[in-house]
Amino acid sequence: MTRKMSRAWLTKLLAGAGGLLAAALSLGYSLYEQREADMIPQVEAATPVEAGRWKVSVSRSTIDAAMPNGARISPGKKAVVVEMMLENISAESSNLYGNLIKLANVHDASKPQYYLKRDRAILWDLHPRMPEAVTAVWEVPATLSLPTVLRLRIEGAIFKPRDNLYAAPGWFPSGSVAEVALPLNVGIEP
Amino acid sequence: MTRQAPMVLTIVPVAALLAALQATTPPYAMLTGPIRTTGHQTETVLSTTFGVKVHRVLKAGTIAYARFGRAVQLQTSGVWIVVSAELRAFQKTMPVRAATLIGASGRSYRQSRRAGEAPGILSAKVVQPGLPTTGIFVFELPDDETLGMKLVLSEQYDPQLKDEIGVFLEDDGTASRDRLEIGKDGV
Amino acid sequence: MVFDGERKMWWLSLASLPALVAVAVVINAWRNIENYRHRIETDITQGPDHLDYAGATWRLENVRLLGDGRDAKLRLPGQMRLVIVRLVATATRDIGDAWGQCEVSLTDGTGRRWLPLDVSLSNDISRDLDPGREPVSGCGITSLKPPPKDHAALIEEKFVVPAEAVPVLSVKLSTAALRPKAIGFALDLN
Repeated sequence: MTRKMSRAWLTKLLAGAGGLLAAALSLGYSLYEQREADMIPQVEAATPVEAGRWKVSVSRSTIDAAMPNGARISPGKKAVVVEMMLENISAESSNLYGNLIKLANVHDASKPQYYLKRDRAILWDLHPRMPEAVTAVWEVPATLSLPTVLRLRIEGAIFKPRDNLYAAPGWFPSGSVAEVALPLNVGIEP
Repeated sequence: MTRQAPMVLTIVPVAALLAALQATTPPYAMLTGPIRTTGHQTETVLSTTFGVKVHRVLKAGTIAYARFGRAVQLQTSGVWIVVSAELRAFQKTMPVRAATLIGASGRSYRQSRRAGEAPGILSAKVVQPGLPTTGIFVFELPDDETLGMKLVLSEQYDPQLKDEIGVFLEDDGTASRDRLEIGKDGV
Repeated sequence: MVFDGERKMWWLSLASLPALVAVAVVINAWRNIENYRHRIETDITQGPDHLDYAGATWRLENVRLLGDGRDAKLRLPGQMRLVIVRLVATATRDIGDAWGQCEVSLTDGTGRRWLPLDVSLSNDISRDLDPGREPVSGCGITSLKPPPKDHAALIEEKFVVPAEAVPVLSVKLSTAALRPKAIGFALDLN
């Protein structure tokens, strides 16, 4: 090979190696992230967990025949009720607690409806530094067999004062923060 | 070197100027954010589209009112703040649905939707130009946030290129009453 | 010679840059400008009698002023007055969707605008004033089923205005497709 040809080969080789290295790094990092995500800290019931905007401490769960505000459940469904203390630890009033808790071992669980225990009515906003006793209700099909111990996953969020698109403050989901195991009781109708 | 000197002499200051401009550009949220007007509780605060005159600020542990004939009583873990105010519109019929109290620590407390059906709530009313409308805003917040409060009003929450009025409320240290009745004619 | 031509091209490109940037901004902003123009009413045809607009001939049918006790014994507090405006539109062609997003408002000479009361309040007032009669629909509802060709439709809108503005009021009507063009009639209330 002449010197010119070997320089051309060297350039191609270096370009290819650089691309392969970038791809390998990217694959390695996503594999590493995947590994980290499988380890979610287990938390006992009634311990406060800080997850982004909210500090939540789940106390008990029941299966109930009526909603906490007295409304009837949709026909063909039953209600999984989780009681908790919920506090807004951000700097403004918010009603974005819908995605805070997920039922990890119940499939077909729709988005929960939250109720304020104090008023026995639907929960609207929660204000900063004012913790409230709150119940979250999932409506699941009546025929679904529920486990004896409910596993609740608490999803966290991180606050970015300047995001990457608009340089505006915002909260971004950051994966599960904790998992709580709650025994599921069958509720006694009062 | 002398051939590149004029080029360097223009590039460096221009680069410095551009860097300064980039560093001092207001963020997007501020450029597309609210048009702010601030004032004091003692005066009528006017913006282009609407104006507000705050009358009284009352503090209570429990509020009570009648709704469809049923008596409603609301408790809170903090205190209730009821602000009575008069709103005026200048250009066209508009609602003022967004009311927030900024507490002593700088936290924002939006008006309470628990008391959203009390009589005279201003966010349920529509203000017509030439016809001032009186009513109340109801908030709940911790007791230690009630010093140096600022009331922030706008047509919607998070206004974008719309007017937002901020009113600094007086600290007159009124005693908190145990129970406040909200009647049809206000407080 | 080649050098001179190249230099000329270079200066020409530089000089045309501001013009090109301006053209690019205008082209990108054109849609926003069009949207804005379709929201405002600037070109108002003031009519004494009949006006052609949006496939129909419009006329002011009736105006009622309530609140000072002279009409219908209704007394409103302070400066508040209720103005009920009725317009009749006779279709000159098949209208279809041409009346979409129609807006009726009252204006005084100084640029203040009063928008109509919402449908439920307006219907409540109609039933109070004229019990037993079906309330007349406003422009929004009538635009969903406009009258066929050569038929007429009655449109009623209610407004709450201050007493001092009553003598100088005129009613303005516009539809989304034809904005910024609008039509207006002076109310001539004393």
